[in-house]
Amino acid sequence: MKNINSFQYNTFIWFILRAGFLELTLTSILYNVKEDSYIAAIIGTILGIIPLFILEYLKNKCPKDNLITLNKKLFKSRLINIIILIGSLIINVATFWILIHFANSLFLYKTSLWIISLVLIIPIYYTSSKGMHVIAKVSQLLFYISVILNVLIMTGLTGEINLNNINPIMRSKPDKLLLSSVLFTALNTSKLFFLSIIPKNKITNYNSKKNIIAYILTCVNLIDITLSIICIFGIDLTLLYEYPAFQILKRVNILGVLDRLETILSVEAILSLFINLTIITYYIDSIIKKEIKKISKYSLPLICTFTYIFSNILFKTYQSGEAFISNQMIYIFVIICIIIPLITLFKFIKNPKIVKK
Amino acid sequence: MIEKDPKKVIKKIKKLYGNSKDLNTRLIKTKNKNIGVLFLESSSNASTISDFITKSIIQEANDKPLFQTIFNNIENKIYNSQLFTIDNIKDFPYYLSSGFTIIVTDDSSKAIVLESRANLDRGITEATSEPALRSSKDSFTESHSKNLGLIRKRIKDENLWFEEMKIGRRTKTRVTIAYMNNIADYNKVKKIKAKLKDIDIDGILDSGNLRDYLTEKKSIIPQIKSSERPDITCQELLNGKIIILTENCPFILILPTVFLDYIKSPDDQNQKSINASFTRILRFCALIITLLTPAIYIAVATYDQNTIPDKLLISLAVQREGVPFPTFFEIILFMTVFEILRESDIRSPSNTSIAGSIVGALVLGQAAVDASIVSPITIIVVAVTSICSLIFQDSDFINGIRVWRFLFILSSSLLGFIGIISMSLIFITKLTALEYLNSSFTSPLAPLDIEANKDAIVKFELPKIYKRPSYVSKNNPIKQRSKR
Amino acid sequence: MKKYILILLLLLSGCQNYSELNQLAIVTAAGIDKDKGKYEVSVLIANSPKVNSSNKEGEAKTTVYKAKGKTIGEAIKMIELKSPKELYFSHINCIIISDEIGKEGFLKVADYFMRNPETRNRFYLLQIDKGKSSDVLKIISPLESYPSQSIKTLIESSQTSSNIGDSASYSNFIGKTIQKGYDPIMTTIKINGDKDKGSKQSNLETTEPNTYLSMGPIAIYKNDKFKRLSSNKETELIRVLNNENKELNYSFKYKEKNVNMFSNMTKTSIKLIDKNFISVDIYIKGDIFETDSNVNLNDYKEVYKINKKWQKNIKKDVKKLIDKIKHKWKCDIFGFGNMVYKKYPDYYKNFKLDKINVNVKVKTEIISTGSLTKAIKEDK
Repeated sequence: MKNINSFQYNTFIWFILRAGFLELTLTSILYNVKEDSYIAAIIGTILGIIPLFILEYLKNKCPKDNLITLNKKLFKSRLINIIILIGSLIINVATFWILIHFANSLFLYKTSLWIISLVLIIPIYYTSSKGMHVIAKVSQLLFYISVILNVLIMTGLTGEINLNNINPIMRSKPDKLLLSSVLFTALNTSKLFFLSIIPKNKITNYNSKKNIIAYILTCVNLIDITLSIICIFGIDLTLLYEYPAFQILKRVNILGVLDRLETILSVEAILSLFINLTIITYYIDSIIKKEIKKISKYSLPLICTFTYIFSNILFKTYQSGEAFISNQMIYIFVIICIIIPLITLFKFIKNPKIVKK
Repeated sequence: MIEKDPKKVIKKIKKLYGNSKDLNTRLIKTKNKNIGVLFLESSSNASTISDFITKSIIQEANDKPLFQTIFNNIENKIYNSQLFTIDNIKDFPYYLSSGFTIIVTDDSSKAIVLESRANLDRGITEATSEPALRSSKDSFTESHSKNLGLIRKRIKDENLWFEEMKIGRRTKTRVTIAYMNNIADYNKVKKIKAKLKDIDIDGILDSGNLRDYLTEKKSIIPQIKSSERPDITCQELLNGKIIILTENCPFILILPTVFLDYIKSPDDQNQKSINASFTRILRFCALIITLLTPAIYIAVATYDQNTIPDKLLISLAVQREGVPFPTFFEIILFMTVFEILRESDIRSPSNTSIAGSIVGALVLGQAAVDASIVSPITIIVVAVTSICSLIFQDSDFINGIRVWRFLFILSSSLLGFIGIISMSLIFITKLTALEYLNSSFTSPLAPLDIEANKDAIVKFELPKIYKRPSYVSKNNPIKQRSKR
Repeated sequence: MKKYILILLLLLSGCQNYSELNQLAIVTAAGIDKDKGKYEVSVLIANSPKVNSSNKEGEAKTTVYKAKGKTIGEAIKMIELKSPKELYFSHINCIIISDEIGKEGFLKVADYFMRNPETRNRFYLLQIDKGKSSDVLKIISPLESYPSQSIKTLIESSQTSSNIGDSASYSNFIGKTIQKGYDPIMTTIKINGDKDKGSKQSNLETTEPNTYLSMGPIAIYKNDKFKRLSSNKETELIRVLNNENKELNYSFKYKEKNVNMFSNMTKTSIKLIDKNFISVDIYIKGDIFETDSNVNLNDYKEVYKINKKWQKNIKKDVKKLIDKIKHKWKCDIFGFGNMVYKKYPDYYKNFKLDKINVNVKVKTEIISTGSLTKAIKEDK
């Protein structure tokens, strides 16, 4: 594995946090706490620092190991890694389902999901087969595009914002607010766990401070999007739409000339999901290569086929999928991405000598 | 070993050349000693031989050690030619073909080799394939030594090193690796040398032939740029790149090349930096246009019609009324027609190409629309695409872009925007995965190198560029010292 | 090798969304009527080619198709059977409904257009003043090179005087309807002249068109149900209060002579002061446009008096309008209830429109009296 640099690592953070937020998390949060969604996002940002710190701690303490080799040294059994493997596969399927459903309802609403997902799994397979340093460079190039599109969206929407729409403030019950912010953390921030595949010494100029800044900047961007959706539509209209984040793109109007940009602007969401999916696929691939050596030759095609098939047969409608992910599957997210790193952390703190051998 | 009998030697060489008529041999007898003179009429200058060489041999061929006398004579009388001795008959054909005269005598097993090359090169002319408005006008020619001279003339540093090797069993082409000794990455030079040494082929006639051997990973877009301009060559040498010159070929190879090198033009270095930046951004846009326009048009016209403004969509729909072919086919058809036109324009002699362009423009453009074989917008799309592709000078690069454009057309005709997105992700992955001698093809954008970005898409003023691009070489990074 | 397999896979996949441009019937406007308990939907198709092809792009003829059905979707299905091309709703500019549809409740109709993934949510919603909405689609406008765009152009061109575009937009209407404490308004469109003559090509050839379209008064809704139309004067004031009017032309009597004021800047802010108290601040800046009184306009005192009078008249009218809204119409078109809900969400249950106190403050300013100092009169 070749080295990547810290800026590329930060773009990973940017993309992973964004992936699935606009498509799924935001809808659930809006449904739960209505006008107070941005408050939930702010609390979620603060909560999300916990998994980020676990990640940073493990990275700084064991610069040579990624989480898989670390687990292997600490536990001496395959069990934990196999659990991670299964959980990551499920997360991969869910994320890919978000992507194909998004493409289906915004671009090709008459085409069957089987075809769309076939076309979208190909670049994911191709990119993740090239190794982490290529994923990092792709992510860096896409980051520029993503930022440009974001700036375009923000400038195109400033004229539409009506700040009066965020009232009334704090109408929702605190337990729901907390639940939504947990949702934010569990569905978005926790996925940073997949970055544990890159050991610290493979990243040049690694700096925890930079990562935290990148995390906060991304979260600010997400909060900003949440706010602007509520401000533009008002909560009632927002709840009416399937993808409110993309209905506002229909209103983007740059300098009164450029109109009907929604198709091009919504590419931004596909990019982040794409990067997220390649990282997860790469992660699963490296677990298989470490733990189940028999099939390591075919691991990548196997993962992609698995994802391809299950993402198509798992859910039929958006609503059922959204409800399932934000009610049931969230436990898998929490177990895989927060609890398992915590277990590793405690085990490591108890006997740090094992790792150093 | 050379036999001490000129007669036999001459006979042997004649046999070697199959009695070719242009092999001129002379057997000069002075007292009872024989002197043999051999040269190829076709590649050497006959008057030089008759005026100086033969004269000097005949005049003073009476002293005892004949070989040494002739050698001294020539050395003292003829100054501006290479003169040395060889002692292997196997080297004869190389020197004869290069235009040398060989003198053999009875009393030595060595042969005198004297340069009497005919001037078979054209003079230095203006660069034709890379024209520039405000740059030096000279360009490389087929003469190897002239080419080296054009570089030496510009860089007067002793650290400019030339390493020569001969490649090709039959052609014995001289290939020179030129680099700045203390700037270029020596590991890269070593790797390139090793690669060139591995070549075992009968003939290398052009630097284009070497490209295939030097490429590391397969890709349609070339990873090695070629140029015929000495000014660009020297600029790249100073940046730490490695240059490969090939005999009899006016095009040199620049290694390693990154993607953004293709959008740079020879004029950029000499223009105001703001103007240069502007044209570079323009070229970058042109690159994206030429790559994506037909694909986006197909996606927009057949899948995502909602992206077109109202009035434009109505007029496009009315224009398409009565066109029998699907949009995808229309585009492919006219792209092919354009490529054929371009090819015929390059190949045909200049006085017939006017007729070609008239047929192309009038008959194929106007008449095809009137006969409603294609819609006018298709012609516009194809025209824009082709004009934008003509901006780039490296023909291999244009052809590479053409292949990708075709892939984009294919993907967009199958799934509209999703197809384009999918294909562009593959494209970006392909570009980033390319690496040449450890320098990434997409640098300095990914991985980001801020210092090198001062001369990438945007060009800063020359006084503000302090460092050489680090993706080329990490030796000696300071390009300019600030006086302050 | 890997790449070629990938490309092959791409090739194998087909797609159902594919449609060529000339296979589409681009719908730019739709009209919805009620006829004997069924919905009658008529669509305006923009891209039918001209019969005598002049080969000039953009000059397309329009066609109107009509069909009936129990639901909107059914009616559109029927139209698709009639039309040789596939209906394409992405470029729909405006939907026109008749007052019968309005009285029955608009949200039932809205569902189809909101749900359709093709439609944009930025199109105009208009109600026809009198008659059938399908007639509006048929009128050919003489000044528009794209006849299908004439209604859109009409709305957008009136934006120099008043910013109707926003209030006529579809999402705005739906947004207000489903918000708490808001009753929407809708702009109406009127056919002037003979509707049968207007649908013929000959309407283009006369110098004075027989039939043309114009914007009408505002339709007041209660929830999603049409209640009544406003008068012309009320229409202007409602637009002023909604901050939609940029220009206001106002005439009144001063010393028993006519004065016409023209203002090109009006600004209204409606603020909630207390649970039961709302203040409406209107600021108007304008010129004296026309007068036949012989008041000396060089005298600043006279100008001051005219200003006072203007202010008083506007204030009176606005108060009258708000009283009417509160007691007679009972439609909360300015969203007073919504304001109460946003600030005092718990109190909103007790909110009643006729209980709320509205304080109207008007500030006017005359910035110029024009090029004349007094009225032109024979002062012999």
